[in-house]
Amino acid sequence: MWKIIFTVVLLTALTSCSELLTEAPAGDEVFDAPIDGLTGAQLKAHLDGDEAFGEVFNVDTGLGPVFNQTACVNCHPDEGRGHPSTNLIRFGRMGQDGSFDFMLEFGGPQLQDRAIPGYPAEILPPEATGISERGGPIAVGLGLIEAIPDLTILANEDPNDSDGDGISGRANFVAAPDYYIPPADKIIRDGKYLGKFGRKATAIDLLHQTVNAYKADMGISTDFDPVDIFNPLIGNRVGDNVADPEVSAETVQNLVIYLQTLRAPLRRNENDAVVQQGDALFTQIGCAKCHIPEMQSGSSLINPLAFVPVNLYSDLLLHDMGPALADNFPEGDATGTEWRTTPLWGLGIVKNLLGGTPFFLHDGTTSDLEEVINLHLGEAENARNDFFALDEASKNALISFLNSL
Amino acid sequence: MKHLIVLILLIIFSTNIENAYSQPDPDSLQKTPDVIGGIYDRPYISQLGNKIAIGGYAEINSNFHREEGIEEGLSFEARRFNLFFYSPISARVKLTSELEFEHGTEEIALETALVDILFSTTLNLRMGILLSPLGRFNIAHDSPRYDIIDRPLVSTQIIPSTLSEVGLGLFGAFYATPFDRFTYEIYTVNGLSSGVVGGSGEGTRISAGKSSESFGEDNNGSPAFTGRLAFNPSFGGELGLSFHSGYYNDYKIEGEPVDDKRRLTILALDFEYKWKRFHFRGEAANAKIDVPASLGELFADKQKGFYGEVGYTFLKGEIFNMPDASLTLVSRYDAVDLNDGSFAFTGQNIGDSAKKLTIGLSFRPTVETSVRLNYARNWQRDAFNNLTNGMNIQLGVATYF
Repeated sequence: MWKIIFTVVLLTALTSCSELLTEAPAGDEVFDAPIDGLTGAQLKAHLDGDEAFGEVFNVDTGLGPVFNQTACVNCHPDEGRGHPSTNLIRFGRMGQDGSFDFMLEFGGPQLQDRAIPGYPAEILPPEATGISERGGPIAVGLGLIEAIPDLTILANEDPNDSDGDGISGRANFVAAPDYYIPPADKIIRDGKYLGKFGRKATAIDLLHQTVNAYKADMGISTDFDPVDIFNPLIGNRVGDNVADPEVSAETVQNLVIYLQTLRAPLRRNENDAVVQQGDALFTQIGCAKCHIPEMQSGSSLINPLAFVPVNLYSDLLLHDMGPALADNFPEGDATGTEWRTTPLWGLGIVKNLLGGTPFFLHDGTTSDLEEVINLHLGEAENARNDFFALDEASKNALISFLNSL
Repeated sequence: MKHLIVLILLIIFSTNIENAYSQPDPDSLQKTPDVIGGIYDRPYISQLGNKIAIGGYAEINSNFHREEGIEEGLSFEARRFNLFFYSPISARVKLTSELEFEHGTEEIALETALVDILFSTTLNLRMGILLSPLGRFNIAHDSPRYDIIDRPLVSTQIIPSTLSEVGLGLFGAFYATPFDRFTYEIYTVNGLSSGVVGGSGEGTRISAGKSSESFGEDNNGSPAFTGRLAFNPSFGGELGLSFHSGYYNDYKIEGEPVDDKRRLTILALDFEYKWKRFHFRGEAANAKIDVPASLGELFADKQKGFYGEVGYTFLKGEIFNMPDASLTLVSRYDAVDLNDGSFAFTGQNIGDSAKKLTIGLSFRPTVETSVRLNYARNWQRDAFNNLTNGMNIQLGVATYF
C-alpha cells in the first residue's frame, strides 16, 4: 500500500518538474529586469543597486526617527506602484497673502506618520488646508525618461493654450539642491531646472528623487543630504541614535544606476485587433494630447538609453486636472489642481504586483479604469466626455488598449 | 534527480520491511527524562555516565536554492557545531552548558549554562542561561533528532528558537498514575528586548528581540515569565502547553519612564507521538504584540503559525553492515502569518506570510546520526500578497558525538 502511494507521489513529482523547481514569470508580466546591452560593470552596479532598493532599514541602520516606510520596495513593491496603505501625505496651508505655507514647524511638507519605538510620530495639524495623499509610482523605465532632452519636453509646452485645444501643458522648474551637477544640455529658467520626476515634477533627476526619498520617506540621511529629519514638535533636534550620514554616496549612486537601467514595461497583446482599435480611439478622442505615446531620448552615458524611442504615454508636463483630483497642495510652479501627466506604460501590469488588485490615480483611490477616466476633468474634460460618448464596445476596446500597456 | 528517485524506489521494492514495533513498557516512564530529547537526554550523558563529560553535535548541509526560476547554484553550509559540557557536581547539583558555533565562527553563542539543584521529583531549582520552555522545539531542538534540515517556520519566526534567556525558576514532575505524567517548567527571565519592533524594518519580528545584552541585564527591569506544562499519557507521546509573556520595550531608562509599557505574549501548543513505525509531531503558536499605534499596519500586533510533521520508518535493521540503521520518509507542512490583520484602506488581508512543504528521506546509520535529503517548496507572500515561489534541495548530515 505504502509502496504504491510513494510511487504515485514520485511519479507525480517527475511529471510536474516546472512546478517543483519554480519557473520565472513571463517577461511582460513583471517590472524587475535590466535593460539589454549593459556592460558588465553597469550590470554589477545595477545588481548592487537592486540590493539597495531592497534594503530594509531598522533602528540600528538609521531608520527614522520619523518615517513613512522602511524600504524602497514598500512603496514600489516589485518595482511597481504602491499599495494605498503605503500612501504618504504632504500638507500645508494657504496664507492670507496668497502664499502657501509648508508648515515646517509642524513637520511639513511631508507627514512622517511613523516613528521608531519611543519617539513621537508626526500628526497632521488641523490647520492644514492643502492635504495631498500620494502613492508610489511605477519605478521602471525611469532612465529613459531621464534621458529625454529638456527641449523635447518643452516643445509640447503651451501655457497659454495658444492652439486653443483646451490643453495648456506647463513645465515645472524647480530649485536644484547643492549637489546637483547639470548636464550641458540642461535648460535653466530663473536659476531653476526642469522637473521630470514625482507626481508634480518636483525632482530634476533620479539622484534628486532618490536622495529626497531616502530622507523624507525613510528618515535616512545620505552623503548628499547628511542631516536627518526629526519631529520639530518634540522641542529638540535629536533624531535616531545612528550617526549621519547613514547611507554612503556609493550606495545612493548604485541605486540611481539601478533605477536608470530598469527596463521599460513590455507591451502585451499589442497586435490584437481590439487593442489596436482602442489605440486608435485613444488618439482620436484626444487622450494622446497629454499622454503622448512616444518621445525620443537624447544622449546618455549608458548606451542602451541613448537616442531610442521612449513609449511612456506622457508629456511630463503639468496639467490642470479639475476639482475631483485637486489636492490644493502647490509645489514649485504646480498649482493645487495641477499634476504631471502620469506615464501610462505598465498600466496593465500594476495588478500583478499588488496581489491581483490594481490601484490607480495618485492616491490609489480606485481599481476601475473607467472611474479613473471619469475623474479626469479640467484640461482633460473634453477627452473624458468623448470617452463616455463612445459605445460600450469602443469603450471596452480603449480599456483593453490601456491594459496592454 | 531522476536517478536518485529511481534508486529510492529500488531500495523500497527490494527490501522486506521489518516490523520492529513493540509496546512501550509503562514501568520505564519514571526513568524517562522530563524532556525527551532535552538537555538531559543526550547521548554524552546517557552513555558516558556520571562524570564530567563533553559532547555535542555537528551539522552540515548543501543548499540548492531556486526562487522564481532564478538560482545561485550549489553551496555548502557549516550550519552548527555545538559543544556540550556536563558536570554532575553532586547527586543533587548538576551543571550543564552548550556552546554553539554557527557557520563556522560567524556566530558564537553560549546557548545554555545552568545549574540545577534537585530537591525532589516534583520540585527542583534551575538558574542560569536556560532554554525558555516555549514550545517543544525550543527545548529539544538538537538537529540530529530531526529528519528535516531546516527548522520549522513557526518555531523560528514566532517562537524565536533557539530562545535562551537568563533567569531562574522551578521544574519537576507529577504522576497522576504510575503511567501518566505531568511535567512542568516555570521561570522568570530577562525576556525579549525592544528589537521585536524596530529591530527589523520588515515588520514585527520576534526573533529580532533576542539580544546578547539581555544576558547581562534586563532592558527594562521587568522580567518576563515563561512556562510549560506537558502531559505524557500512558499510551505514549507528549502534549505540551506553554507561554512567554513580558514587557519587551525600553519603557524605562535610568528609572525614568520614557514610553508606554508594551507587552509581548506568546502561547504555544505542541505534541509528539510515535505509533508503530510512524512518528507525528507538531507545534502551533500565537503571538500578541503591543505595537505603538503610529507604526500602524506595517508592524503586526498579531502573529500565528503552525507546523505538522509525519514520518514513516520504512526500513529498520541492518543496512550496509550497519546493524542499527534505518530509513525514514518524512514530510512537514509549515505555515506562518507574520501580520495577522487587514489593511484599513482596502479591507484586504495583509500578507507577510509563508507556507512550506518539505519532503525528505533520512538515513540513520545509527540512532545518533541522520543523513538527510530534503526537498522543500515554499510560497512566500509580501505584505501586499505578491507571491514568491521558491524551492530548496538539501543534502546534509547531523550527528551527536
